[in-house]
Amino acid sequence: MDEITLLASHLPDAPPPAPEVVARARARLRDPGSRTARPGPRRWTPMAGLATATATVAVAVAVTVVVANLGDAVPQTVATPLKGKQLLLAIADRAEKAPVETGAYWRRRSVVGALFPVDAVSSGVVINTYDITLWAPRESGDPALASSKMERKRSLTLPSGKAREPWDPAKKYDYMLGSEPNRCEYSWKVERKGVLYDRRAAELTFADLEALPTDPAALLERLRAVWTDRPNVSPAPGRAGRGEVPKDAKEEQYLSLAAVSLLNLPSPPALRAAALRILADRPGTEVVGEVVDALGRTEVAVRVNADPPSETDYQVMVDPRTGELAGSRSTAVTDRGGLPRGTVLDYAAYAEQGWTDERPARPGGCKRVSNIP
Amino acid sequence: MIDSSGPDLKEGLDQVFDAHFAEIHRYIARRLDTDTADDLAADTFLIAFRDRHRFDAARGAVRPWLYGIATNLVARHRREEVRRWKALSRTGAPRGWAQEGHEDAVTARVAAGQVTGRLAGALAGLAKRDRDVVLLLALGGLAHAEVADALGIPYGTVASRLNRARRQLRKALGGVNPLEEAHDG
Repeated sequence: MDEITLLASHLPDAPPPAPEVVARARARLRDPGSRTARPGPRRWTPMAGLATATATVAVAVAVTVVVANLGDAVPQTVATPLKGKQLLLAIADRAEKAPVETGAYWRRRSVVGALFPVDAVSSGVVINTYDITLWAPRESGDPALASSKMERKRSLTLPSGKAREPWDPAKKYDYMLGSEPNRCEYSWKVERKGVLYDRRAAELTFADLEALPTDPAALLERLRAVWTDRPNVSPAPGRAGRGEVPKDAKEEQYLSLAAVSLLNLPSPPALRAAALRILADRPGTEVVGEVVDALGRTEVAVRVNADPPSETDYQVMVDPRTGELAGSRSTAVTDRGGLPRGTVLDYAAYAEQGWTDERPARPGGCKRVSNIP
Repeated sequence: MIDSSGPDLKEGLDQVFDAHFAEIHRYIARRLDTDTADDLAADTFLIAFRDRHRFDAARGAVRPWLYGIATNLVARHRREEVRRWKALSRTGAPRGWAQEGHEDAVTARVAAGQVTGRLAGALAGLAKRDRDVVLLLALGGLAHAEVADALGIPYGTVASRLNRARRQLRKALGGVNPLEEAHDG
């Protein structure tokens, strides 16, 4: 052993490149001009992205999927000059034409990040990123799996208690790789009634999704009825003051979130289109426009009327090519703790989603928990 | 470790990418950071593709050529790299990513941290051309002749830069040198 061997063994190692990094580099190589025109969530082909695959296999698979999809996904950037509500309605028209798909499981892999101020003055923040895979069974007796792997913990030091600019997951910053061990957790449940993972609209099963009206006016009426039938219509006691919202405003918030919920669930294309049209019509909806998400893809950000008194804005990312939900994020509404207004406080980017006939397997070496957030 | 003869560009860029992307990414990430490596590793292969007509298989293998491109890209981030080594020299070793989860003995870790810190401090103090040589050997796993290929310098120059760098590293290790008894290979 000499100094060179010592350097090799004692200098900190680096994690292997993330599958999307490899896929992106590959895509750039094939089409050097494609740097910003990246596709939305990938179709999950039967062979793609097994949760238990080794890093090498995952890399190889991700490359295959992107290359296979490059032809149809990349050229369709939103060349339309449409803005605001019109843009969302145009995306709804496109969503409606998507083919109806099905399978034994709906599967989605997300990359999720959250930012935490280190201390009161926030001279530093910690950014945790997670890789989350969700398996939702079509049949109610089948198990649902959610697995989460903490990928990286980074800390970002801001100069003298002030951030230079809003933190944006799509940009690069100086940071140190922290020493937090990778954490892996999963939940494994059989939902007897088959209720799906997003309950903001109502407790819905796949059969419910297929039975909901796809005419926007009829769907809106149905959602209003759900709202009226809810037992806890009045604001919860003890939340008087800042958090209290008049009843009509609460109904509006519910309708906005219900539309987002239907987009977040594996709704058939016609229902997705109706949900987009309802969302476009809500008074609190604001189409922010095209943004680059954490995976470097161009999506349309839509601010949702979720919780006006809050200190954060809730935005969903819509894939302009398919009308599918491509992710979500929260941004700071005011400057606080050294983090300026506009700072992305958390985000989720759906890397791959789609139907599959594969079945989930419990991930090895991971801790079982009751719920994956 | 990938065989340094590897696929060459004639067999297609896809094979070259598959064979070498991860190791080039790792080399850059260990000198700079993962985010920068995400970009620079991709740039390395774009440049390799763009300049493929300049690659002469008769003069060397494709792997050292890729490391040479990557090293040139790292050079544009020289300040960040020096800052990284300096920071590491102050904090000692953060436990390597690959070792996470292992329950090493605390004392071993402290000693290892000292070695890492001193090595990092010495790296920060090396001339860039000397640092490139030792890190291509240590992190890239290149042979001396391959380093010469990668940097486009004569073999003799590699040897002299390496000798100079090793003297400085040895000096920095001083009292905590675990090689004290080892032969100078």
